[in-house]
Amino acid sequence: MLKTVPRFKVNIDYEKCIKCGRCSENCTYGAITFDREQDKPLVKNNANCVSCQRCVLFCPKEAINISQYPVTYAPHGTWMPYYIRAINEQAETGGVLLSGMGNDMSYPMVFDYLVWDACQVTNPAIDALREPVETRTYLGRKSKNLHISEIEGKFELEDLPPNVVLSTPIVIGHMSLGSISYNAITAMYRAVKEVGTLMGTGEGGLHRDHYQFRSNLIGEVASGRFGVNSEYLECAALEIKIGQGAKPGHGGQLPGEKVNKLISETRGIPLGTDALSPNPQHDIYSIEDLKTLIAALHEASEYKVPVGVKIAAVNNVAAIASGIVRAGADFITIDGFRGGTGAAPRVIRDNAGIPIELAVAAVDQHLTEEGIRHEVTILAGGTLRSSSDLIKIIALGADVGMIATAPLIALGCKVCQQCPTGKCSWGIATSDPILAQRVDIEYGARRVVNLLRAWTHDLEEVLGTMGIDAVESFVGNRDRLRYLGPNPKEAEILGVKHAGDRLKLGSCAS
Amino acid sequence: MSIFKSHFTRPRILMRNPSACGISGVLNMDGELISGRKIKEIITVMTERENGLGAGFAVYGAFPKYKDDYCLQLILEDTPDSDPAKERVEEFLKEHVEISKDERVQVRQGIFREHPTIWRFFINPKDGQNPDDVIKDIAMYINDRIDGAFCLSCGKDMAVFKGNGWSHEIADFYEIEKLKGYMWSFHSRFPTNTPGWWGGAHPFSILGHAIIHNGEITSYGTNVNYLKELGYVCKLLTDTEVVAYLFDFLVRKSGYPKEIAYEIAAMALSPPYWREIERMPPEIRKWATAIRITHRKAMANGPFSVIITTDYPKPTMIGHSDRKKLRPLIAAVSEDEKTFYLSSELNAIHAVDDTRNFWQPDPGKAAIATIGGVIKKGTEKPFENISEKLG
Repeated sequence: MLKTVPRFKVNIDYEKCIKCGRCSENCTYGAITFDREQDKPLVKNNANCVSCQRCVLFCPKEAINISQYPVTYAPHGTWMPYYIRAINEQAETGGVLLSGMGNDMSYPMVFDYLVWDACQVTNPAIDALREPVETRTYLGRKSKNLHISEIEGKFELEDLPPNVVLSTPIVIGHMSLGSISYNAITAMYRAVKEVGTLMGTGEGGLHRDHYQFRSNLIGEVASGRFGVNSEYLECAALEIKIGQGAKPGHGGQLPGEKVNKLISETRGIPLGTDALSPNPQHDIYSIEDLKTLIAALHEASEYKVPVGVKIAAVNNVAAIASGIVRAGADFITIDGFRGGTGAAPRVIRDNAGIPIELAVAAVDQHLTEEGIRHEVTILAGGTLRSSSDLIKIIALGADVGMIATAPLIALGCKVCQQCPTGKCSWGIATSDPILAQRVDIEYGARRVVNLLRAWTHDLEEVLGTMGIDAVESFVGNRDRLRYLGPNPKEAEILGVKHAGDRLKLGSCAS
Repeated sequence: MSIFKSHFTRPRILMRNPSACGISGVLNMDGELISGRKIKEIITVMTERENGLGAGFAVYGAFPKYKDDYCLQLILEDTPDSDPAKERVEEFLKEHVEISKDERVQVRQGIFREHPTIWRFFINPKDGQNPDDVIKDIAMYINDRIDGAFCLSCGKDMAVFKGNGWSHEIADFYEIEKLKGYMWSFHSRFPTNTPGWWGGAHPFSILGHAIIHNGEITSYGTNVNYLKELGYVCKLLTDTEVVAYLFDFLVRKSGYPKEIAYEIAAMALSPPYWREIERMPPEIRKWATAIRITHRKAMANGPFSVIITTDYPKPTMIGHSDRKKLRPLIAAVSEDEKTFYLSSELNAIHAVDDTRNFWQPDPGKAAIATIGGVIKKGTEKPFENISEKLG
């Protein structure tokens, strides 16, 4: 093997080290081992270090740090280390490079070009600590009008289509058991139940232990149809997965070695078999087929739960979304090109799709022009890094923001992108039951609850400063955003005025 | 000795000019005509609430001779490089409607140094389409597409008069004392976020509805999107129009039963908090939840009080505020129980009527009166008077 320079260098300060061995016990990647002869931990192979920070944080003496490997590549504006390393890896293996988490390229972040409005003088800001600011959101189809009939002098109101109540417009996105560990997924299921919102099951089905959380789960029906049984259909909502932001047009593979007893029970497949999700749904080759599947799921779930469709944000996302609404979906989930994954070909993860900000603005405006935006709920995710991104995506037109990397970080994830290796030292992206124990379910759930509540409080505070006391008055309220970036065309697509632009048409006033 | 003359009264230069708009409305519940002379007293009292950059009024029952025709009242301003605006409007109207009469609206000269032409057409749609929708589309087309023409109102037996000036100037300019009507609403403006201009003064009107507004709609962007879906074009540089269009949609276009349409509209515009909805009796809760979910984008957020006057299904006046009541609104009924008043301030009502029968409608609740009497005082529980009618 042609050697390459490691990315990181592990440094152990032996003056501080007490030779307890925690670092080597915790290192799952084989960078540090404990040498019995010398009775101390040794850096065995810097090339194995992924900077997961597990050793650094578990060292009781702060004796370890990790630095970038101190070697300078010959400066080159084109042949940067990223490309040189990738070529080396593919030259060695002859395979597709896999990667985890979201797109790690430094594309411009549209969120960072947006700022929002606040009340001054002409309307009073609301103090969210003292006055109600409502974040409750309903997920599901809305009819255009109430259906009222008069029977014997009394007005009868027809029941609304099924809707799920969310206490906050934040849901946790789809992550399957298998892509993440039993402990990690249980912690998040508990968190959404406590907060009163939803999480996606991912395409891996639902373990019997988790049936108790069904009223807080969106059951995903993906191309592999793993774990889709009659009990699964009792989730709060069902979602047909067409695409995922990290790998539009791509399915997924869970290699047989990860399909242990737990996974095989959950997915309903034999032990040790590869779980292959085809790239397309093989019963959906066109929109009319999607319509059939939506209708079938409605029928199978006895019209009790909303049925949605998840798509990746791609060029033509607005027209596709319109077709999906007309095919009968009750909600649409749009996943942006920075969205995370347990495993995706890096070439796809880093290049396919469009940013969620542009996709949501396009879909919201397109559906509005077609007069059907009101009928559906739009969920959007794909790297909402902070509550500010959440707030901006709602103003751009999403009813609900979807997060997945953020709650994983709450559970300990350091975004080292090693998910497909199954070696996650934090016990999150692994099917190894021993490693999974590294996530304390109760404490993990508490941290995810805290995160969801903290972002909700941020949202309430910000709505208050804008003089808005219910989040539904903020959905698609692009009027309250301004653009502060380099590209006026971007502002035009977003439907947002440039910061400082004086009011001309369609502004607030009295 | 000081070079400044001592002031025994507050010097003109220090005249306070606080921010707010003044709104008021008067309805004779017997349908008798009220003279504009009386109205003028009400509307020129609240000078603290205006800054001379806009005022206007709506009057119902003004055209008994043409009460079955739609009265299209327009501001016309000729641009140098095109045909006169009036000719272009007339040409467009002739394609779509029958014109019974058109006339220049009489105005008093010498009040404004310059002012636009005010013209009105009495029209009726030609073919068998829904006449209200045809007229609504015509008004929207004129405002959107015909340069130099601006439609002030397009209802039957009613019209809107407004412009850029103090309330007393507008009253005199349109010779309000010569007008008579059974229902009036009046607005004096303190524009902040948008420029003062003739079309931007209140009331905003569509078909038989006219709306005057004090406040700011913070949900404007969301409401505009909803209206776009419903086929309404927002072009008037102000947030008030969204309330007028939302109201038109909810009480007329939606086709809700007339008995409960107002209740639904008021609840959609200022829905109860979820925690209040949870405490309602199950039957009412079902309606409140459905209204709030279905018309979630009709919710008008931010501080406002509005007075809506409408002739649909019969002459009705509605006072309504945001659910935190961040703008004032007071209601009153005359001692003889003939006249219903709404106003930002009690002093405007007391300028013409010393009635002691006045009250504050609750936050987010509507006070509604119509020909025949007061329907809701705005202090009742949701659906209180009609709950026995809900299945």
